[in-house]
Amino acid sequence: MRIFSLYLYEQKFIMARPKTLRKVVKPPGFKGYKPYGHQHAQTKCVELLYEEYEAIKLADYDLMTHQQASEVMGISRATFARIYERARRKMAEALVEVKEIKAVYGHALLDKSWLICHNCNARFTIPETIRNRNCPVCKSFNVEALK
Amino acid sequence: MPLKIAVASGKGGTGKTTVSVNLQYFISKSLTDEVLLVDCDVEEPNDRIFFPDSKTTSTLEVTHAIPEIDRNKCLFCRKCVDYCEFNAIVVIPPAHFAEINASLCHSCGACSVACREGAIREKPHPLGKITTVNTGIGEGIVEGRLEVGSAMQTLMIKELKKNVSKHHRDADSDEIILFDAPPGTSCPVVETIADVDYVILVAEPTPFGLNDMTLMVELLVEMGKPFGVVINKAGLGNKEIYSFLKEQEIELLGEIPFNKEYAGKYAEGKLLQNIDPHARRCYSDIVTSIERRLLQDEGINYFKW
Amino acid sequence: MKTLITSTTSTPEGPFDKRFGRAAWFCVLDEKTGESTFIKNENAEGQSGIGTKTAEKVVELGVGKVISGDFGPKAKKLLDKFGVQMVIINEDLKVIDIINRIKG
Repeated sequence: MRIFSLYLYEQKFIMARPKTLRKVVKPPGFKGYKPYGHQHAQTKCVELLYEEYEAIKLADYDLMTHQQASEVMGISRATFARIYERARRKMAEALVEVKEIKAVYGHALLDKSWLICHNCNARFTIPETIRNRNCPVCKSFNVEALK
Repeated sequence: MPLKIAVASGKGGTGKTTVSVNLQYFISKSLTDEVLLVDCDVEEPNDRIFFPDSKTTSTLEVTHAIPEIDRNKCLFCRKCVDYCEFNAIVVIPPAHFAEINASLCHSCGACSVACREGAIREKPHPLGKITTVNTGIGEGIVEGRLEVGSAMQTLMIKELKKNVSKHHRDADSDEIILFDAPPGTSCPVVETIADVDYVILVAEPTPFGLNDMTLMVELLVEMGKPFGVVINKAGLGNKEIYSFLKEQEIELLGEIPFNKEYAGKYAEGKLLQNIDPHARRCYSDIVTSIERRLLQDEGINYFKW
Repeated sequence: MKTLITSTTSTPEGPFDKRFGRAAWFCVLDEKTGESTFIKNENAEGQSGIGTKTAEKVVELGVGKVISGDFGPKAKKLLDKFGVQMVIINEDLKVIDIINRIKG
């Protein structure tokens, strides 16, 4: 028993379990938001992940319960709550600290998802069997979901 | 045997429907009341629109057999794949995957013959509907309507014609069956005109109309079908079509002049109400030409005119 | 992982074929060893259902990634089902250019 738990501990230590992909019905319709009317323009920004955007949308725009929203995204309720909490904190941080918000791909699994690489212009899919979230041709991480 | 006439055109929008609907009306008035109109434009049958008071008398759901592979029985030998002419079967032995793509399948049944393991079973798949409509004119309309998304136009037309000939098989009858063909010169058109006795080509005197009619003439010559031409929208375009007909010695059955008022009536769906005397004369001429032509074909040279 | 690149000729110097099912040749690249082999596409001249046939071949070859100019709806569905990554490149490139991009 002890050995087993040690094994588990080691496993965890060596490599984090890969995140299950969060289903996002539709990627955000913006690339980012910038504050205006602020004298000392901040260059820092917060990166809002697609799944965080989706969490805000499902809970605060579609007014779903966390249980319903988690089912839509194909994750547990607890995970949804965590993503949602992080999304709200990021938005609050952006508002209070006058930071730009950028929409970033994250760990989303888009329905009928096609992505574009801004480095080599290749368009591609990411099936569930593939772990890498970067461009399959040039390996760049500068990718974005196609609408 | 009933007499079968198809109304076809190479180009779309030349007036197949207009001519078919009017012909049925005028044949029922002046020739015989036993005249049936069959709408073979199964992707969008619209002959019915011109009869607002019509009543549906019967509807028949048509299915075609799509084979299914039982993966528990399948040995993934790929024999069915070799037999399939249409590449509708996907078999991937290492993945233990076997599937038939319904949209590519032509229901030919070859795969069922190929499979020795009995892993292929045929299941009915909706193809479309055949509707019989009582319009009060002649014997009404029979239309075929293909299931949305299906590409099996030809099969639907085949089923429609089978259905029509089942109900109109009487050898002694003098009835006339008019087939309103789909546009173009492809398989569905060939299927429509394959067993008819005569073809009426509706053409328009424009360069496009002439070009597409030429294609249709080539097809009909190859199929060995007797045919004549009706020029619709006469007065538009140019005179080239007339010299073509003369050159090729093709019979001109009649002309329908281009008339804005008439087009307006068509758009309102009031094709058969208060037909103006001019159109009446045009169609009567066409009916007479067809009549004469047909009697000649049958070797009978007397008639009541 | 193996990658399949559609090609017009049987050499890496030849231009890349933007058609999936109707490409004349397939270049299969082993990303681990960097070796590439060319396979002739026997279905290139077929009548219909070529996309499905080619997708079938891709799965059979155990390819994880396909690079082409576009994919038809039926091929897309099948490749999606078997978890094959699809990549669309819309530039006029030689097969060797794409191989070099992958190798980095």
